[in-house]
Amino acid sequence: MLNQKEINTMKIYYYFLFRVYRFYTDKMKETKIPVFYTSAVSTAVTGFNLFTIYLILNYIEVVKMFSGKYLILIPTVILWGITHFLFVRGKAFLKYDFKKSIKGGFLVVAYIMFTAIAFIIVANLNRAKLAKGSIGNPVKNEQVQKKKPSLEGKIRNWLEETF
Amino acid sequence: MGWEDEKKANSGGGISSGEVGNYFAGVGYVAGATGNNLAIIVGDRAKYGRANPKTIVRTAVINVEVSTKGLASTSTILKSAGVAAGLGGLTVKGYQFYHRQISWTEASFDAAFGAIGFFGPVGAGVIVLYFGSKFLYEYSTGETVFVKPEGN
Repeated sequence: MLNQKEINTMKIYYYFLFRVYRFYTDKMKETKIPVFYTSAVSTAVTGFNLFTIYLILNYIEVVKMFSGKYLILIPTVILWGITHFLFVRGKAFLKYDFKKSIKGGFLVVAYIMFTAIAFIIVANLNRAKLAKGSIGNPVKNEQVQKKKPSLEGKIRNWLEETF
Repeated sequence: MGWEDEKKANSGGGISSGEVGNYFAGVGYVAGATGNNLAIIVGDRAKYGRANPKTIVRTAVINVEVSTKGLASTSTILKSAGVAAGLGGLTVKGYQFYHRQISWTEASFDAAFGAIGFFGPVGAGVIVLYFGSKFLYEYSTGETVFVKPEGN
């Protein structure tokens, strides 16, 4: 049985799902797959939260980072399965009679923003660490290949030469 | 990482490994946009009553008569695949950003356009244009659109 604190946490999560679902049904006029959109958005946000926690643990060298970018898709698929089949598919979040409010909407947007900012801060710490390491040992990561010229570089060079 | 570092990186040596994430997300967004457009076609046919069992899909090359029910199912599948691939693309981008395989600029652009992709048919159209152009540029010139970080 869930205690009161766990019930409140679930209610907050269900409110988040409710607002995402209503965004797709009301604003986007989605009739076919609003549930699928809801579970995808929820997976993206909670996935990045969990990933950020994992990255912090990796940064302080408590856990090792898996090599290969596609391995990250495995926990994402598992998380999507849990989110979709346990929380979203049955539309349990609609049974709470939640009402849309400006304060609620603001909090949901703030939560999404917080998720993005927290990830960027942690990722930047690691990027700085990698940048330092790459000075002494420039070629140690995966997928080594010759650097290609880029459109961005050309534009920046042109801007520098012109202005 | 500042522009000076990126400029140095652009001068030679280093790694370019952000492309796969781009294409993965891009293909998903194209699927999603196609699904959205098919849904619009089916919706238009059913606007004034029950839709005909057959629908004519007009394209620049040929007009094709297909089952309306099949078209609706295909639309739903493509839209779902688009959302799933978009989610996968966003996750891979996050991994690449953390590991400094893509630059700040590229991550910002891709994340912004990736997020737009979750905003219905218009968003899907915009990102198809973005990822489509990016793919075509990189495929046809052999160059990348964005500078890759040094020493990665």
